[in-house]
Amino acid sequence: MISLEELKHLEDLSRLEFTDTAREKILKDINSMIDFASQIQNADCENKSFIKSMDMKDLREDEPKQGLSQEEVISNAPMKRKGCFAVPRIMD
Amino acid sequence: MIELGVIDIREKIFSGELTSEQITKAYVDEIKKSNINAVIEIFDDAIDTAKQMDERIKNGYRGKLAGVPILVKDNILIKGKHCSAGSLFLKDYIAEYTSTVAQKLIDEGAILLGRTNMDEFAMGSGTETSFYGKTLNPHDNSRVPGGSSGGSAAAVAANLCAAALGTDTGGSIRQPSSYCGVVGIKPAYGRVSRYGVIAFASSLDQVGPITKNVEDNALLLEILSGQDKNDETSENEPKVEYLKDYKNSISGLKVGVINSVEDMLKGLESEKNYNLAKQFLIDSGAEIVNLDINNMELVLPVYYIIAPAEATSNLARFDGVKYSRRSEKAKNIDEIYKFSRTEGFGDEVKRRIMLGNYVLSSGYFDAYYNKARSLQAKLRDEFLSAFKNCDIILMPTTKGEAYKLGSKTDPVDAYKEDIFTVSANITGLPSISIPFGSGSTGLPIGMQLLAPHFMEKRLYHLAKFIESNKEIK
Repeated sequence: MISLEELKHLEDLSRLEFTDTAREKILKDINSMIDFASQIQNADCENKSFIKSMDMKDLREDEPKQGLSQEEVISNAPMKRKGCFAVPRIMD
Repeated sequence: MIELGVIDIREKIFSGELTSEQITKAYVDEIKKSNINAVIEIFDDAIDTAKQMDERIKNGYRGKLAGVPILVKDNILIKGKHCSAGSLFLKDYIAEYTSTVAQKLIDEGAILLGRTNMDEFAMGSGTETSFYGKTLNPHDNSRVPGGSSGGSAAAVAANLCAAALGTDTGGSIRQPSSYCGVVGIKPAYGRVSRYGVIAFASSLDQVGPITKNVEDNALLLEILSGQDKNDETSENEPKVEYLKDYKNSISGLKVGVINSVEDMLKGLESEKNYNLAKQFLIDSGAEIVNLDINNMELVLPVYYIIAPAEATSNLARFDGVKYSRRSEKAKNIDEIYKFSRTEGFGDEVKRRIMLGNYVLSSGYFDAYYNKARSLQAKLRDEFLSAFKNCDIILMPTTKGEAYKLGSKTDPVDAYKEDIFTVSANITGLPSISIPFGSGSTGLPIGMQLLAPHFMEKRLYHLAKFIESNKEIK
């Protein structure tokens, strides 16, 4: 079970924000989800790695190639300036 | 003519009985008439492309999908077209490049007809969480079509296209295929490139075709499969003509059934269909092998740790800077992130991001994420050793018929929908759902087959056998 404080911390990590009313519902939902996920904790299982070890031959050559143009890359940006993503001033 | 499948349409076009323009127009009309909200956009160039295709065909062009209209799920990019993953966040996003899977369809002459509705960012089992509203089950409009590829499965079932593409992270192709009475495959992990497909959980996601019959499905997967230099997880497996040496016999085939799955099935609606399927296989000469696979009841919680963890990372890119949407209230960079995400994402997406951050955060990482990964490895080993004793595994796809719209209000209750489908994603195994009879109100129910990695050929052979020999009730 997580507390309201922990929920607010998760909101911060998630870059999300809930209203006080929405928070009540999400706290209940998240706790039932965590409860559901917690079933695995008693499972008897040694630590095992799922990731297969990588062979150097699996790596591709590091060759430069044509990607998307700068214009294409920023084409969906909500705000752009001089070919760059634009955001409000970060440093005063 | 709209009820025709991919191969039939192509053959009729080649023989001159039908033109691509005629069939494309017929589907466009049918989509406009339809009330199920399966298709969220008809591409305005579809009919013109079909006309040009008719010219090429007249001049001898013989692509494997020449002139055949196909719909794609709203998370598959096509350059210059909108693609939104069913989310308000990406409502105005226009793809800058074309996904490998869409390109492969285009290269074989397919007409890309439009995009289908889906649960937001593919998170859901009912196509009820889309920004574009719910999709209805074409067989019973008071029920869901399944999800997250509910628009694709419903569109195929309602004859709004010849076939459609879906994506499957935990059952999102197979479960709606079961609910809509169509054929859907989740290929082996690594079989199909995900380049240009909006990511949900990258270690689980696969693209696959949803079709009206098994042969169409095999043809489409043949076209979609193959290693792609733009997706490092795609494997260098040889292309297979899945039904090339099909024989109408399964005599001696060893079909595995999982004891714990049979326990879970007790009292569920699809138990009847499962038992009928088992009996049909025995009567057809197959040998049933009972399998013990431990921890099957934990596959669902394992999935609901790994998938949200990966989703949290994948959805971090939606920050209000790069992709189409920024909150108008935001005054500084922190507010851009926070407000844009809060306004742009729906409730289910927010819940999963939160859960993902929880299982990845310090203090919980080992107890949840690492433990889930260990269990995943163990489950995978268990399935691989099960395949030493059998050729293929039989399971139901769903617990029963499609559920009623709006009936899953508790998120965990909704997650339990995926009980039989997630193991194929967790293990990376290929798995197909094919229609097998109906439930208590006469709605379709699917059966699922699983095979060892890259043995989709076995799935198609048995699926074709069932389709050809079973009088589906």
